[in-house]
Amino acid sequence: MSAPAIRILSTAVHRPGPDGKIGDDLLVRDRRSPKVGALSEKMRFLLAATGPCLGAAGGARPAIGVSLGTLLGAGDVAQRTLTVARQSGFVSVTPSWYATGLANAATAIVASFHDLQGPNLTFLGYQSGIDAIIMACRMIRGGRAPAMLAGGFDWPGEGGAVRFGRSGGPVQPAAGLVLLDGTAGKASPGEASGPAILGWSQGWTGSDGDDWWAPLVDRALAGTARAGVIPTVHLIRPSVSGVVDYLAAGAPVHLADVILAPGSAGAHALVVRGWGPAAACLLVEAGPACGR
Amino acid sequence: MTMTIAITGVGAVCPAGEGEAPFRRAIATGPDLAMTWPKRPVPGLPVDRVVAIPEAFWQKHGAPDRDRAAILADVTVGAALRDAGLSDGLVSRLGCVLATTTGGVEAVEDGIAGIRRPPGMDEADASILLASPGIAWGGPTAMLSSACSSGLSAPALAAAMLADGEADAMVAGGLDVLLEYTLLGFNSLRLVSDDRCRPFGAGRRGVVLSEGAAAVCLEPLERALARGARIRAVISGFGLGCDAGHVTAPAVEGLVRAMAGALEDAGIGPSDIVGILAHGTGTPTNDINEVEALKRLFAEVLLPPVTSIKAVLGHPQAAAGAFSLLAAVAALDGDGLPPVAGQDWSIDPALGGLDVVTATSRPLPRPDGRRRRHLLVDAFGFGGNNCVMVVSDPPTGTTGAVEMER
Repeated sequence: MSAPAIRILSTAVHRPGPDGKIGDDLLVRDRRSPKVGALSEKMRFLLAATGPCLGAAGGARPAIGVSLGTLLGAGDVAQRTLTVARQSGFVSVTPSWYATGLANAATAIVASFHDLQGPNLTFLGYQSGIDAIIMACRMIRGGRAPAMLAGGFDWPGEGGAVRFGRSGGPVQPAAGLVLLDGTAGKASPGEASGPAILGWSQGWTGSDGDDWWAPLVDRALAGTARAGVIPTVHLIRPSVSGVVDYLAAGAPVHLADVILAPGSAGAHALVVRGWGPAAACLLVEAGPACGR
Repeated sequence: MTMTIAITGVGAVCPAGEGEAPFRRAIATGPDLAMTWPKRPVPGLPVDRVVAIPEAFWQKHGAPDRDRAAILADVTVGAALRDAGLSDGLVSRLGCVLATTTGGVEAVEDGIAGIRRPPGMDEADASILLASPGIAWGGPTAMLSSACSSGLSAPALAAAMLADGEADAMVAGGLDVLLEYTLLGFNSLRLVSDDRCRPFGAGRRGVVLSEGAAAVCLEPLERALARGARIRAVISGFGLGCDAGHVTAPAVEGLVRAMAGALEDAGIGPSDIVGILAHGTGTPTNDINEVEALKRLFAEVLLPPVTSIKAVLGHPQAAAGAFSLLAAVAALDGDGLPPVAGQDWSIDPALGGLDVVTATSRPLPRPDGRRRRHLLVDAFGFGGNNCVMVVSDPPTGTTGAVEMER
């Protein structure tokens, strides 16, 4: 994989404040979508992040795709459906729950809300926020979309169906998003085209040693045309004591919040690994700040 | 596509049995496999008629101590690799893309049902399904969930990874197990049939839910030929897109975009298609919208014969597209297009003279004596997630390994 970089046009980080509460200021005003119907609080939270991020796309671009990662996926809706059916019987199960609660529903509703007709992809797992960004890059590079809205989103809800106790820090909802554009390769040589994704790698990590991330970074670097690049390495793992865990949104939040923060510069390797051996590495060139 | 991708191995677990042979036999002969969901009764459920994998399969593979979804993933991925002759670790950059609609929910459901304690986040993380015993993926991995288009989208994305030069070989497919959650959800939407699933049929009443898994092993054609692999078929192109509309009702325009995108990606036109493995769920809405989309795509040429395997195998959600892909491989391998199974069956006249394959398999012609035949495979999902793929004979001159084996 040695090809033109993919430009990061804008970023969005959306999460509750230190108290963990979600007020109206964190929700999009729309309570209904003409095409989907009633929007859940979960969707209103996500849509409050997608709109500003898409603003950098510059008007209607229906061929844009969406690629999001989630760990919990449909767990909250499954819990509600099963609990209600057990307590009140099948007749109390609302028809819209299933279709609007599948793991891919959030990605699909974002597309419906913003009329984005490009590839619509949802990935599962702790590392899936970066998986989603990587696949978005592939879609752009393969000519299947001119731009992609990508990142991670998780909504832990009130819990119960999934035990959060194994995480070292509190678990909170968040969305971490980037808007990716494939026109970076068309920039003139030397032109400052803003932050960009240089390369990536995914795969199994073979050991739990201190340098488990090194093969992934090496592979990501090998796929770029940037000889001699030594990136700053950022590691994201679950269950870090005292650290708020945003699950699949965690790595994209770090990307937007730290790596692409104003004033940041140089090459960065963002490596995320979940509870298992699945891991992903994103190689990023920071630079002139993109839209927030 | 910038690269022709060879299908060099397949693996399947379906309600008719474990392996490719039972799958091919079932779609060709059309047995009625429906039964009451055997895992446990669901009080008050209007329709619990499903096409389920026999309980003996699960017990043989370690259930209830292991997740059923994990069992499907292990068995199917291993079978695809063995079929491709890659089970002994011949490639270092071997990757995997699997897809599920409800992966991770099985653990949640079992927790609520009291079968086990509520899962931790590590157990609810569906990407653990990628962890096939004895396989350390040296290439890219991902766990996809794009509803009922997932099982076709996963091989499409794997093909994109190969075309991008990121892997030497990929295993890709889809799987889903029957869950109480799924039964409740589809019943609440009134999409399930208490009769046999009748795709494109008059009086069709909906889907019969099912379960299963299918996977393919994919390699760049040149690499597969160089190692003497058996080329089962090739992926010539695919189209991915979103209706950006209603969550459950498909939009004709979105389906047409995905179909046209697949043809464009393959560099062929509608007249090159000799058969269609339709999504064909047997719901009134899907079938009429899918047929309308096909009619628009084939407006200038004769619409080729259309079939759906869901009358036999039901709707296994994320496995559906992968099953259709395997049916396409079997069709090109000499089986022909499988029939829409069932008796006392007539085509919905509202679908306007559609050429549906019925009764027996339909041999695939070679139009004008052309060597390569192309099939269109559809997979559509809730959320307006659409994937359409062109599956073809290998290019002329590359089938030597196949012909020698026959």
